[in-house]
Amino acid sequence: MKKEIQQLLDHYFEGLTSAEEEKALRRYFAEEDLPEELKPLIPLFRFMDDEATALAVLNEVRQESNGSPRRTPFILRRLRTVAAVAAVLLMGILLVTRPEKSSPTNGSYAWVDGKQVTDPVAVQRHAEQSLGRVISGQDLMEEQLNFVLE
Amino acid sequence: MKKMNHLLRLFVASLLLLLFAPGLHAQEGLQIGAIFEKYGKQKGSTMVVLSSKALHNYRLDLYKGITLKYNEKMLDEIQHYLELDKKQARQIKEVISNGIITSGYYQLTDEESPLNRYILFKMGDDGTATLIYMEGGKESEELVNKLFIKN
Repeated sequence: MKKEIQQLLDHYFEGLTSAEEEKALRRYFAEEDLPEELKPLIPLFRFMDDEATALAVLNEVRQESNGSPRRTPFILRRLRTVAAVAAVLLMGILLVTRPEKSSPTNGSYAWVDGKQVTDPVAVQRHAEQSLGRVISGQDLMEEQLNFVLE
Repeated sequence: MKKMNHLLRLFVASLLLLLFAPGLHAQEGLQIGAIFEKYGKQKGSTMVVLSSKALHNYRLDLYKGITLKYNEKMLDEIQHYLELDKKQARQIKEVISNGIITSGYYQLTDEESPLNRYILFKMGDDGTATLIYMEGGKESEELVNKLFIKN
């Protein structure tokens, strides 16, 4: 047996082994009780054995996936569309309501000399100032009326 | 892939609509909106925007005010836009000095819209002009008249 294996190994390293012979070698090196001088070759043939198993599984998977293309069920496609539309609506609602809820200014702001002001108290003060400027405009009418009626 | 593109387009369109819809609504059809756009963030100007929460007591939904140091060009622009917008006004109270509107109150009412819109304008003695745009429900009219119009 040992001589036979040695011959097979010689053939293997010369690249002359058939698939059957390589299989025999892998089977042999899968055994536990091996001669000391052959132990360094164990990883080579066990790796090959593992690789062969992995390739076999891979081929199986490939065959399955190449068989018939899987179509997404209609209901799933519908569900995706509905989910996408719902997501858009939800984002829209969040966008519209976000400034009201999260901003401390509640959507109010001011621009003063090219700089944005969001402090609610400062914004309110600027608003009152601008209103005050407009309200005072009515005094002129009163003044004119008074002047005419005097 | 086609469906994906379609959804993406739908998403972007919805997003843009939602983002810009409030902006389109405010001052819709009014020329003075250009003054806020053009000069609001400029140095020397003060622009104030108050949302409905801050205006609850005034029965208003929106307040936009701008005070700016004007030059001849700006004044011409404002006057031009006021002249155009006041064509829509139901109520006008203004002071014209040397052919220039120095003070104005305009109430704009659109019968098809549930909103009342107001434009107020005043030129100050210090080389500044203040332009205000407000909008609110029908119930805002009484309060705004009390505040700005002396009967």
